[in-house]
Amino acid sequence: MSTELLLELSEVTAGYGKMPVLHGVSIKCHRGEIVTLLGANGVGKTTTLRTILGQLKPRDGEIKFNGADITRLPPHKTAALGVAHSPEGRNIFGNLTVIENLRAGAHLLKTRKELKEHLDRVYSMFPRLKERRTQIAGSLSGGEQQMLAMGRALMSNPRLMLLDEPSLGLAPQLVKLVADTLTEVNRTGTSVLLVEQNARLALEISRYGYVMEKGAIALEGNAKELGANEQVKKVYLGIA
Amino acid sequence: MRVREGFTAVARYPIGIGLVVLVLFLLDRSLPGFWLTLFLLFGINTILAVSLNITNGWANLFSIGHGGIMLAGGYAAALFTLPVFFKVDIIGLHLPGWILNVQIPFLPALLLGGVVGSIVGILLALPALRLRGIYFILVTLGFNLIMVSIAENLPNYTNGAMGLRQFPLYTNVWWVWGIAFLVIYIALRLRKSYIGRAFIAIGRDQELAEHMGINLLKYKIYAFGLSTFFTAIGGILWVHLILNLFPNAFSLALVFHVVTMIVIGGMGSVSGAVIGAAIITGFTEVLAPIEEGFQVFGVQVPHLFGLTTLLLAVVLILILILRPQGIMGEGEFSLQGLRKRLSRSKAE
Amino acid sequence: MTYFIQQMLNGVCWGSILAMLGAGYTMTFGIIGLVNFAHGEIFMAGAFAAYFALHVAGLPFGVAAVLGILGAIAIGLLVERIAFRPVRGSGMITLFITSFAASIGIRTLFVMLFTDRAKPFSMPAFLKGAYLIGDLFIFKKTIAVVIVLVVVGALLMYLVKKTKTGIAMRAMSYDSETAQSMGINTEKIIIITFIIASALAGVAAIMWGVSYGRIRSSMGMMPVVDAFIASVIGGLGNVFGAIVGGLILGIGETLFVAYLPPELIGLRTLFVWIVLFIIIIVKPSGLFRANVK
Ligand SMILES: Nc1ncnc2c1ncn2[C@@H]1O[C@H](COP(=O)(O)OP(=O)(O)O)[C@@H](O)[C@H]1O
Ligand SMILES: [Mg+2]
Repeated sequence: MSTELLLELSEVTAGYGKMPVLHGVSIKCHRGEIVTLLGANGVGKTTTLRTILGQLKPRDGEIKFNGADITRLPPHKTAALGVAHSPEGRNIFGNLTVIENLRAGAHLLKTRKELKEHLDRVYSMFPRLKERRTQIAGSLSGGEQQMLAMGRALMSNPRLMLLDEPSLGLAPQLVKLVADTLTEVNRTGTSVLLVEQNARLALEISRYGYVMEKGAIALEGNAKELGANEQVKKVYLGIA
Repeated sequence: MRVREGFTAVARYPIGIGLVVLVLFLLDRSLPGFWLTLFLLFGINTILAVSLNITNGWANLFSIGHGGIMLAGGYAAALFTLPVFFKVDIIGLHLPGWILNVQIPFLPALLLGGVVGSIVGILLALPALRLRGIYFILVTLGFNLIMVSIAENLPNYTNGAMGLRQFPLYTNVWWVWGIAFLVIYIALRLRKSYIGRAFIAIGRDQELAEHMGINLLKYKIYAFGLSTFFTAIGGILWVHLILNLFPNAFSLALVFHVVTMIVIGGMGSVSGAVIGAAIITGFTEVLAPIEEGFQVFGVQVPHLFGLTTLLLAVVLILILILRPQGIMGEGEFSLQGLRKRLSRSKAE
Repeated sequence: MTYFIQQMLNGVCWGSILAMLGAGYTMTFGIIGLVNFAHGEIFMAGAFAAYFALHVAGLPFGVAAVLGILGAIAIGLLVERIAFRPVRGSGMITLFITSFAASIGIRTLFVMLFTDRAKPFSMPAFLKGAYLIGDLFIFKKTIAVVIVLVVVGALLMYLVKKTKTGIAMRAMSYDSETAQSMGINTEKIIIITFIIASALAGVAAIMWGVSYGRIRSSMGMMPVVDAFIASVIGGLGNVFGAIVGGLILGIGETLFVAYLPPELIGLRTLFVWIVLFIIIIVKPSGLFRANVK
């Protein structure tokens, strides 16, 4: 596995209004990796992803992507460098059809040929989306909306995909589909930063992991080591 | 200590009122015509701004239909204060005899017009209050346009766009400033009372206010009824000062002027509304000669009608960009506050 | 019956003007939640630009029409720059007041410069005249206005429904932040939206000039309110709805006036408000959809 750094957060402090939520967070993601960020509700995982995207401006620290400083880049420019986002709660465009959602995700593509190519790829990953392509996205089921959010993020053929709790509220077989898709996506060259509450699933498919507590990284290590850590077992895997 | 406080509280009002009456008396006697008119316009604008602030600043019911209210109240009063010969012989209005053949004094005319304004305001509010935000604004806007249009197009009852004139000169310092102080007093008392705080709570967060058990419809109607009552009275005072009345005077441009007063002063602040009224009154009068054209060293400077409105538009946009909270924010002017601020700046 | 159909035909021009204005209105509302009260002045400025091209510079009608549209776009961008961009994100009331101020300011400026007297706007020869079919007069200008409405409306629908920019606009109207994370430059989309909406106001201005043969500084005041109601009828944010709503309102208003006793003709403005109040009472929920469809 290549060890070339793709994403690097160094000592990032960020938050809403006056109160910082993140206190000096450092995270690394190498090219071709799946990295996971674990943590209980409300510790700042979503905030971390939003800061990477540029939706929040960090107060301190530095974020580098592919060698370039993206600390204060607006989101659409971060996206143009190859960062895609599948947000928590999916945030699909409820007023658009499925195919229009995917086309919105493909905004950065230049040619029709590319569009068709990526559309076919997403359809082959999620055949259900193809069946529903002319349906208004607001009327999809929760699982279908999750597929759409992931498919939409993949349409731009990103270098790095940020996923926020993709398994939240999904039935077990759908969780499996999400996991398989991520592995597949990763195999075709997209790195993934995965935020999950489902630690078992996350550690299974990723190589490296971070555990966040109260806005700071409390623990990090290879996924296997983390899975074996007593504390992680107890708190995140529910093994006494 | 307690005794003294009780004493000052009791003594303060008569002394204060006495002082105000004395000042008004002296001003009334000593001010030359132009300045007196300016002073009266300031008072009328104060009434308009303080009343508009109740709906627009406190309850967040942003109305730009208050021109239509002034029009309704103004005409209602005017039809009774005009001389009979003017109504019957000169313009020949087609009205029932009990309107045509009477001329009533100012106080009943003010009350009548105020009540009519309030009723019209509540009739407007009843359907409009179901609406939020921009929909509410646009319905009030449409109301203003409709009122002007109706008044212009019912010549049998209003003399149409030609308007009415020959009013008795009823408006004077006592009426204007008496009512202005009354409105200011009521507004300041309201602010501390349950009703006023209910208005403000509704303006801040309607859902929260409802949760707190505030009856939204009831208090919105109170706010609208009170605001439109005094707005109509302000309109009547104005008519009986400038001595003519025509529909287009109550167009959106007028409302725009009053909105500017409360934005400059700080939306939600009574003292801000008074300050805004003073500034806009002065501004308008200073620019009046330029609007009408004048001569400098024998050179005729052409008139520039609309200059005031144009500059106000620019000022309004600048204020909203640079200091959206206006002069006072939502706070009130108070001597204690001023004293505190002074002593703090001395300490530093 | 003939009278009825004739009046409907007469209402088509007014309806088309409202359709074009309403479509622009609804687009800016959908994208940024702004009821651009100055839209009427953008429309008026377009009419003046065409008037000057036509009557002062003596340019051919086609050129004047293009200049009219460009004039509207210029004022539209100016409004965006001074009355909208600096206060973006500071609440609906503030946005409304600034656009209200811009509206009054621009109108007053035009009245100061050009007075509020009506100015002639002459039609090109090929639009003069009418066809007589049975008892019905069908004016050539009506036909022209309808053709323009259909063509521009179709182009607009194509743009909004099928193109990348259109999809970006609609995505943004639903969720601006998520749209931005797809690489959509929301600043650019706002500008494009203003340009399109203003261009539509320019088209409406040319339609107005051709239909009524005169323009004036205060001409934007009433149509802007009617166009707002048209877009409410169509569901705010729904471009096609606004076009249909404009036609319904324009034709309805003309019929209303046609059957009004002559002494009450001045109550014409009441019509749109009656319609609005009916909507508010019958279908208030229809008033609150704010995404571009
Ligand atoms: N938009 C917001 N405004 C203010 N505080 C927020 C906002 N979003 C999240 N927070 C706060 O930031 C903290 C971290 O939230 P978040 O990043 O969403 O946590 P996680 O994704 O790990 O559950 C929480 O305490 C939350 O209350
Ligand atoms: Mg989260």
